[in-house]
Amino acid sequence: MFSEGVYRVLLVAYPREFRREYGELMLQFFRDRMRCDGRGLRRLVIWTQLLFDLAVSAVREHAGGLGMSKDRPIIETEALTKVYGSIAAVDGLSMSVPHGHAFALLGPNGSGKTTTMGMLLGLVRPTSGTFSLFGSSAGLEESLRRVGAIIEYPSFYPYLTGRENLLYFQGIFERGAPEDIDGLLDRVGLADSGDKRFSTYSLGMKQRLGLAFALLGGPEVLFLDEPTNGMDPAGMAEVRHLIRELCADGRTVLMASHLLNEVEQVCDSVAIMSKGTLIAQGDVSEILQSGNQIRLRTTDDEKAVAILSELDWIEDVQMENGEIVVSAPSDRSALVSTTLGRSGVYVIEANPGRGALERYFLEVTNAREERPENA
Amino acid sequence: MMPMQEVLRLTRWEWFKLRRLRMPWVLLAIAVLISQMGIWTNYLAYHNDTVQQVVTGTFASYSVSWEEEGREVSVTMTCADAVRGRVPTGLDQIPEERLQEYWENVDEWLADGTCENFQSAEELRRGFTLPNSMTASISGFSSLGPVAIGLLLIMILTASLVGSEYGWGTLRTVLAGGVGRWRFLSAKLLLLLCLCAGVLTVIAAVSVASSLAAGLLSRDEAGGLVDAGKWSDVAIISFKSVYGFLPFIALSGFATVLTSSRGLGIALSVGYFIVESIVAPLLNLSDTLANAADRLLIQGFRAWTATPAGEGSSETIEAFVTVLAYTVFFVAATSWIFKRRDIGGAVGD
Repeated sequence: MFSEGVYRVLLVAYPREFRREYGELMLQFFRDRMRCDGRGLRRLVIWTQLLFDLAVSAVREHAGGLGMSKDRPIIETEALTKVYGSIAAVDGLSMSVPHGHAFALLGPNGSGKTTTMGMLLGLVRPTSGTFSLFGSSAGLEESLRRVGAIIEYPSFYPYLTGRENLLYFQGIFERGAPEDIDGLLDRVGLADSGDKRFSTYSLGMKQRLGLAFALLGGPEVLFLDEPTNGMDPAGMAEVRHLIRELCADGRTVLMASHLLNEVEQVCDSVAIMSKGTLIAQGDVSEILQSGNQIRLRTTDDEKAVAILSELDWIEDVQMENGEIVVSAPSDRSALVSTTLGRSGVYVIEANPGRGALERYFLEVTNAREERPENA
Repeated sequence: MMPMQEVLRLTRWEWFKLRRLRMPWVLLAIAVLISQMGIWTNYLAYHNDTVQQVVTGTFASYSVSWEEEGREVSVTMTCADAVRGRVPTGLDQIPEERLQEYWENVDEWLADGTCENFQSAEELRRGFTLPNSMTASISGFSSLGPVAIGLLLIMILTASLVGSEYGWGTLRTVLAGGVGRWRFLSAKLLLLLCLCAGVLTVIAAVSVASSLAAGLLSRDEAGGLVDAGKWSDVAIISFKSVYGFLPFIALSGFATVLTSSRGLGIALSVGYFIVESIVAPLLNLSDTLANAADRLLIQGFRAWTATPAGEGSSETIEAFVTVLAYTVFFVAATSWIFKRRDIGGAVGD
């Protein structure tokens, strides 16, 4: 009991959040070890090991390495900038990615998404600014061991098979075990192609292998750069489902994409980038709440516009190229048709218009385009 | 994990990748074939004068002819006869009074150095018997022969090993996983060093097999499988070769990291080799610049490997320092560039 008391005191070296979550478990582990091996010299060895663990933990916490708090953003950047010659690929980017979120970097090609990921992964040296992974700006190599990433497109050794590639990376990263590889190949739908050379893979298969690679050892954070690039619709749906599953598991996904519907379907938060600058950041659900568009053709368009304009939950109604464009919250889209029907106006054709995210994206990017340079 | 342990672990995984490539095995086969050519040339030359004539390009001979009983008689002394102390055919037909004059003329003919490239039978035999066959094949591979095959192969392998990571874009995949840059580079260099040692070991082993085969083929002749020579020379020449390869590995690694390209890495390092081979003799023409020529990389390597095995002299130390200085310089420059430079995607080289 004396030993346990001392151990309880020593546990103070751990961060509070960690103690709250795992303290009892660690005490139980300590009791079990003492019961099994706690005699004579072995007792001394156990104590030495435990003290060493505590010391390492304290040092890591001091360096901000553990980052146990789920409230703390898992990725943070502060005025991160990368300049190539006279061109700023990323210009003063400040953003934070919350724990357990699917976070999208959304922007057209050349907006700086991949450069941002490259800087966070230590591949590109920032010109200025800072960033932190797991709450730590020091010891990037150590932090990266907890990250799975595919950047731009999956690059593997062409003469090795898919399985050998995974085995190699599992070995050099020391993530997971070789026995996990079959399961990973199966998870990404490459169970039958694992023994084929990477050079013979289609683009979709390469992406799948890239995902299996990113999942090696169950990383806490995933960086996925255009993860569905080159995939067929079924593959894209699988990947989106997989990302949702990972987030449900408590993992964080930072995804770069230029596909608005993909971001809309998969991500919780989005940062919109244009020409290297962050122009907007927010929760995807909030943006979606702002409404969707429906394009309608009715038996009486003029009357339909008049009726819909009267409704307070309709955000906007206007005629555009012979169609009525209605902006309404996505959960009340069906009500538009019912309301018109009750007034004797019937919908002949209804098509989805621009999604809320698309409109938001165009709004913010257009606003930036129109803004004078010196403003 | 300690940094050195980490490097060793990465080296093991580098080997996992490398052994699945075809190129290193092809290069090894070329190295072994070329290294064994010396042994079998010696064996053939030992048994056939014409082979040695072809190899040395020496077809000279000394002939004497006279008339005897109305027909022309001639005696021909070849270099092989002269060097190996053989009595030429027909010598017994030379009249007693002319024999003295004949030998004087032969001595005069040999004094010109006509046959100096010809090896004696003992020398040829030592070329295919142990342990000299091992020493000769290792130094034949590594030292600067007319094609400097060993150095060229090592530089090509280094550029391929480092440059393909840029070409395939796998460097990005590796580093994004938290593998330290200098550790990854060190693992590659360490693997190359191990490969050099491995190649020399294979060459030595194949040389033993070749000597055994040559011994079996000529077992009816005098002399055993093992001839004069020191076994310790094999270890010394191996060490000298591996150490001598270091700056060339570093040079090729530097050229590849500098250009981020396998092809350019090979071109630059081989180009340096060619340029220095041209510049050094030109520098040697001038008394003042000759000293600078001695400090060049290839000249340093030549001096280091040319010193007789086991002989410690100021020239050996000087050559040792020259090789070390180039190695340190290229490794430091490579590490500096590799650590600082942004890593891009695949370039398809």
